[in-house]
Amino acid sequence: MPQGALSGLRVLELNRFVAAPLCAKFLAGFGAEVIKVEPPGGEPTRLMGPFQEHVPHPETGAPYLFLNTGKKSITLDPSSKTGYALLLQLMEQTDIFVTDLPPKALEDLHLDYPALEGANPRLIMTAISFFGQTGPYRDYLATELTGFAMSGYMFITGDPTREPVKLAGNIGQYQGGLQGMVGTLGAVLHRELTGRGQLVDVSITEALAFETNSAVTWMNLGQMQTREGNRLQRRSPRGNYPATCLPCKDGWVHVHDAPAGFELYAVLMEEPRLADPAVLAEPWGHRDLIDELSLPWLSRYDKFEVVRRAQEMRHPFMEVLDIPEVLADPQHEARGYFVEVNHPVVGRVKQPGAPVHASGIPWETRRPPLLGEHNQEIYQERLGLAAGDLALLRERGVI
Amino acid sequence: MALPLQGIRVLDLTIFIAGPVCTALLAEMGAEVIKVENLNARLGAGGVGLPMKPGVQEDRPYNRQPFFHQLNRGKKAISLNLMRPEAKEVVRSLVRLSDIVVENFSPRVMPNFSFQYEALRALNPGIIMISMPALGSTGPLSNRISLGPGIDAMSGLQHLTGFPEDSPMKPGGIIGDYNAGMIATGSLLTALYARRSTGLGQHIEVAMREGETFLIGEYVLEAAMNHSSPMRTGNHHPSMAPHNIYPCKGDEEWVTIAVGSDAQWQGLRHALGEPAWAQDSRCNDLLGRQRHQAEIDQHLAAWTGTQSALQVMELLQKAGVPSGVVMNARDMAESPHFQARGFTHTVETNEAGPMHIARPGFLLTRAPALPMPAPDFAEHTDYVFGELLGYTPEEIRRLEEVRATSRVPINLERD
Repeated sequence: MPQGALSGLRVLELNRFVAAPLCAKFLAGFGAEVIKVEPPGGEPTRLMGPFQEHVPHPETGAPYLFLNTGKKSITLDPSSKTGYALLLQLMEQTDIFVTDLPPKALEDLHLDYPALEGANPRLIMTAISFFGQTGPYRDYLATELTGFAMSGYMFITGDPTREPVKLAGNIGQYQGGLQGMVGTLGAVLHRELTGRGQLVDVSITEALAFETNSAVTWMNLGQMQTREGNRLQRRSPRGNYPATCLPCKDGWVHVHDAPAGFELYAVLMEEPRLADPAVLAEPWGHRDLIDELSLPWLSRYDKFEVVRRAQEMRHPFMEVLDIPEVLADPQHEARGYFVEVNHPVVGRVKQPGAPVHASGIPWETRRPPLLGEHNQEIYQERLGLAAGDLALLRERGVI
Repeated sequence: MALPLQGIRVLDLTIFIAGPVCTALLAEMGAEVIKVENLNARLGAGGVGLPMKPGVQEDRPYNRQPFFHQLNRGKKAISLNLMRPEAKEVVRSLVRLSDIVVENFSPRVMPNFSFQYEALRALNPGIIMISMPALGSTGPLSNRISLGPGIDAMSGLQHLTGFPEDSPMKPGGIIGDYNAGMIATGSLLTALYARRSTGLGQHIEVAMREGETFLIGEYVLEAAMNHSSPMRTGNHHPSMAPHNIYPCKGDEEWVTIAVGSDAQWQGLRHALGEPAWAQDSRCNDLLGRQRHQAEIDQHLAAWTGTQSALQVMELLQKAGVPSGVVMNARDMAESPHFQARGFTHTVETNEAGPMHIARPGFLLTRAPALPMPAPDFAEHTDYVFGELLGYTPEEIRRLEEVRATSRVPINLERD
């Protein structure tokens, strides 16, 4: 097995939400040593379901199992005096500290960047929070829903006839985690040049807002982005259409006109009224009519057959796949996208593997750690504590 | 001040969004990014459909597109017609002088130009090339034609987004592109870090759909582990209630409320002034609140409907309840919070006056990005051909004559 590109980099992760774990999952995938610092009772994502067979258990939650591949776990209460001293000792040997504790909590624990910088000037601290380390909303309480709403992303997602809707799961925090990963690696390269670490201040709401472009479109053009449901929004009646989601015989498909010309759409749909000159001149202006005239053809076939026929005529249709269909997808199968990870409690469990393929920076998906699994390795072998010390710390609830 | 990527040169052959986002971040971190545009690039689908900012040079609208400036900040630009052998030679020369090549064409395009990785490596063994095909360059579906939200559909994300009683819902933003752009950027930075010790380049591939399915990894893992088929749940949450969006006074004004614990439920009741409907002891725990969710939502909506979203948010935040305004573009632009953090910059453009661009979600506090506009079309022709590649003015003129390059956009098909 070739060595990971980031092997040799030591990462500490201290989390309350899912953004820091996602960020550190990337670093672990590329070979960094990531140590999760968990409170003695386990970190909060261990309590997030769904669990295996729907029985709550700190080792079997799907979010925990996905987010923590290839990491180590130690237990430590950073609010205890001894725990804090141990954590600072670890910090001195750490390259990257990734956290999504709220800024106020970091300050209360003396784990904010000014407190850590002295102990290790080469330390890179990636602090991910919903609103960033500064600003009037810094200490606002937030969940995925709150952050998604306040980023401007929610306002533009959903059907115009209904209330806005959030994206599935934790996409906002994951975008924060990913952008945090990019900033972290930028800081690593910066440290190669300067020898100094730094604070990487990551805001989940800004990460999402960067990806919508809404605010600057308003500032530059005075145009307000609104909800268009499944339709890809166009600004002129002459704009391209369709680019939407419509029902077929057994489900839903993404329906899209051909880059070679909208006139081909009428041929695909076997519907001459779609070739009417008025429709051809203004597809977006006729979007309701185009939907209506598409339904009869779509209702004849299942989603795979619809897409097969459309792709044959170079129309960029795609199936709206449900999750079992994603798992059974032949393209994923051929590319070995899913990997099976063998876990001592869960058994063999299939999940997405590498999100990137490269010869020189191999990605590994190893199993997530059990709670405190690496206490002995880290406390005894790395920090030089005796076995008796460990027992004492455990008794006192420090680890 | 040193920037992380100072001294790194990037050859940018990207189109649409995923590729340009990646090279924009590289430019922000200090790389010299040379963007190669097709001669008709800013006349085509990427140009005409998008709105322009009014400006002083009315005859060159293609230099006044806000979205273009957002996606191409800090880059240098030349134009090349890659059907011409002279233009291909320019690309080969630039590969020799670059550290990174970024492209996001469909998988057949680069080999058709003879620019597959093996050919580029022969020119420069240290070159790091990254590709971002929709479904990947291998596998039975690699040649599918793909545009826009089709990736959302195939990733599984669309199925999981929206209300269970309605159709699956596409994300309002272009999540698949930005997501792939972020994964690509992180991979490139990792490859640069690795190259310090190996000296070797490599070919990296980020399949956009694979990157997007990664974002719902826990659902995929759950479906595999429990043989289940996860379904979309609108704005509800499996372990929080109430957890929803509520209408406020005024048109299209909304606020979110997410109650994550019994203590927060008490806080919410208190903030509302302990109304009679909220005294029901069945609502004291999560299970009860989930069972009576519809009822609670009705009461909350009646209450939020009488006030502004901002009022609700501020009141509930004080009471310790996560609540947030569903901000629209204008709210974002005028928010004191985002203004205080400098989320948007104003950059001076050549032909459209001041332009606002937004920065990404991370701030390198010791190496902040310098706000820069995007280049005008072919703005750096003399720099790239002359200074970098050593072409004489006469040689550049000859390239223009044969339409291998141009200083203004040209529609070659009509030509």
